[in-house]
Amino acid sequence: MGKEIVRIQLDFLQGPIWISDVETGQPMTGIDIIDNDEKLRKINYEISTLYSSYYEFDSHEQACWFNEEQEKKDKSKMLSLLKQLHDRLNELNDGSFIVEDYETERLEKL
Amino acid sequence: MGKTSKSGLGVGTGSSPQGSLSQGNVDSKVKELTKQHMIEQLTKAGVKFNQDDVLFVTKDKTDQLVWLENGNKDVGLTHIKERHFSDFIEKHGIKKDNIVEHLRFVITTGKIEYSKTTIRNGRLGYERLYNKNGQYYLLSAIGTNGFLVTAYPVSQKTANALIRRNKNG
Repeated sequence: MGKEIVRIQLDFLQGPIWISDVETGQPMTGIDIIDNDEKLRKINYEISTLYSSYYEFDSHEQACWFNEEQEKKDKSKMLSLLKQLHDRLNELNDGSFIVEDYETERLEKL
Repeated sequence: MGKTSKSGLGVGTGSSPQGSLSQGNVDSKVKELTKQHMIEQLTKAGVKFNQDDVLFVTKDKTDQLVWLENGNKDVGLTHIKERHFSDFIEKHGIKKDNIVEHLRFVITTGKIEYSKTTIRNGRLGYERLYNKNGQYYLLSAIGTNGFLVTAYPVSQKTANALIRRNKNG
C-alpha cells in the first residue's frame, strides 16, 4: 500500500500542514492520527499565526506588503517551531505517511 | 488623370477609414481601455495598488472586489506561480501561462462554497473556496482590500471536507 504524503508549506492563512482548518489550525490531511492530535494542532496553529502576521494590507504604499525583515528576525523561532512539528509527526508516524518539507530549507537560507 | 493610391493608415481619402482599424490597433485599444477600467475600479474602491502590476480586477458572486497583481515571491501572481504551479497542472490541468485567466474565470463565475473571515495576530483576511461546476475547486486567501494574496487548487475530496467544516460555521 502506498504511503500518504504530508506536505509542509506556508502561505497566508494556510499551512504549515497542507491543508489545515483556517480557524483552528487543525490539520485536514485525511490521516486520522495527524488530524486528531491536539499537540500537533497547537504547533500548527502557532506557526500559521506567526507566518500570517507578516502580511499587511494597504501598507507601505502597497496593496499587500510582506514583512521580510520580521521574517528574518523570527527565523530561529520559526525553525524551532518547525522542528517541533517534525518531531511530533515522527512520534505519530506509524509508517503510513512521509513528510515533504517545502519550508525548512528556504528558511535556513534567510 | 491622376492615380489614386491606397494609403493604409487613416491618411488619404475620407472614404478609406478601415485602414485605421487594423486588428493590432483594435487589440491594443481594447487592452488600454480594459486597463483603464481596472484602474478606475481600484481608484473608486480607495485601495492602494500598483498601476503597472495590475493583471485583473473583478467581482465575485458576492460582489466582493478581487484583484490580482504580479506581486513578488510572497504575494500575488509571482507567489502563486512559484508555490503552486504544480497544483494547477495536476489538479486543474492549467499551465503556468494560463493561470491568470483561469483565476479570473473561476473567481468571477464560480460558486462560493464558503467565505471565512479570520484574524491572526490582528491580521484580518478571508479564506474563500470557489467551485466552478464541480470541476475546479480553488481555495483563495484575500486581503480586506480585495487583493488576491494567494490561490491554489484543491481536490474534490479536500473541498468536500472543507465545505462540511465551514459551510454553516
